[in-house]
Amino acid sequence: MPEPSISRGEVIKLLSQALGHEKATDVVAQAAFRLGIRREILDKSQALSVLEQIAQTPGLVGITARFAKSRLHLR
Amino acid sequence: MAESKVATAMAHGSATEAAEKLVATCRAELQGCEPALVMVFASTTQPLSELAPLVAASFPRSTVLGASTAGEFTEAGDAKHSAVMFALCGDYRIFAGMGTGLKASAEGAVAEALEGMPAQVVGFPHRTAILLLDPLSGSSEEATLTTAALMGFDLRLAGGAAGDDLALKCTHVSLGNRVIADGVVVANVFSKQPLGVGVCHGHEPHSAPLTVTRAEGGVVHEIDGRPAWEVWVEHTRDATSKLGFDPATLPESEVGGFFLRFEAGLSQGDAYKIRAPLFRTGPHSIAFACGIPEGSVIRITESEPARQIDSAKEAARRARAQVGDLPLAGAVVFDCICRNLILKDDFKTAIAGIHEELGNVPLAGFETYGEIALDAGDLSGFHNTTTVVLAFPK
Repeated sequence: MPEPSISRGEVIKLLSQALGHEKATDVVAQAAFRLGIRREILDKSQALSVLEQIAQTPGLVGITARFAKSRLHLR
Repeated sequence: MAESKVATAMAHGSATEAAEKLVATCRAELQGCEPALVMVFASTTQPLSELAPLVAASFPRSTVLGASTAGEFTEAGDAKHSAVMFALCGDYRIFAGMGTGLKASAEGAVAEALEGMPAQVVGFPHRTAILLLDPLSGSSEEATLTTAALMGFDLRLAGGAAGDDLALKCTHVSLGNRVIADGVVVANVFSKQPLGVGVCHGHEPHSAPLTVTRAEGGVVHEIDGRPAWEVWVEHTRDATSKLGFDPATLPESEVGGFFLRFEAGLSQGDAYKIRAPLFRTGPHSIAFACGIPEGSVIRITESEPARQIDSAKEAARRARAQVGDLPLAGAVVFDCICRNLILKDDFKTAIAGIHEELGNVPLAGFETYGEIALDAGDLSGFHNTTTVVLAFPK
């Protein structure tokens, strides 16, 4: 069975409730760039990698990403 | 199954006088029933460090939680310099813990509070956590998300951030006879019926988008490359002049009230998450109740009084809806102090609206520096400018 796909916008939404849309957009773009992910549609493991990358950030950004990652795992 | 029963009380005077009256009033209303949960919310006139141990000693078999406040209320009305009590009898299993060092590590403090807490109790399929915390730690959202992550994703979470009558110097939470600052208290309430949690705010953006350009944790130093305080004063000047004051000339003791009226909004697409500035640090910086990362885009928000009354009723409706068709026994309400600052004497109208929406059951609550509400599927749980209603079915 193919891995479910998730758009970059959905990953941003996972973070924007706590960080705001603009900051969430920025951290997702930066993390995707660092991981060499250029596509708009990600598979679930890529989305988790993006969140894992963001989760390394100290403070609220990292805590929010760890929380979002756990939520995404449950999907 | 035993029917739930709620008693509420309000008292003034010293901590000793208030404790005696609160305990006597609730005991009389409960008619011999021993409460499973007691919550006390106290102004700085009845220091929690004095009040909580007296209340805990009076209810040795109950879980007794507490928070210092910026205002108190029951279904009978609101007051300042008072203490209120909420006591709940019924079929519940409640486990509570306390964690310290919230500022240094939200994850550490929450883990300490949750140590040894069971994840489930046979025969009690529903669980709701109550979280009380010190917002001056600047880690309120961090603590809320960590609590939800560690307790499991089916959790419904409600609570409030303690106050100190707008002094913004030191806020306290308590569990039993232990009273702490810079900490969290978590109570895990296992129940046979679901509890209801409703949240709503009535604020709207008032300024253009502003970018946080220098920040550390919960302290914002610069916005759009300029001192944060200067920007806040500039972008609220029109509104504050209509209200008859100039924030630039406010005495330090009134700055907290100004901030809590003009809070920051983070865009979530179709809505705004409100973040509360609490106090100035140094001449230029502003401390918030949770982390505000650099690069965050905020809008300064404000609200009309009518929207505050409507949003309070909406929060009550949402909590009511989560309980389904069951009649209610009572509710705890965590209500942002900003709403009292905006509504002034009409704040009682907002309480009456909540009371009516809940079917005129007893309620008690306090005016907070932040509110907590997170349902399964939510991705943020710390709020400002909201009313959070935690409803208990009969």
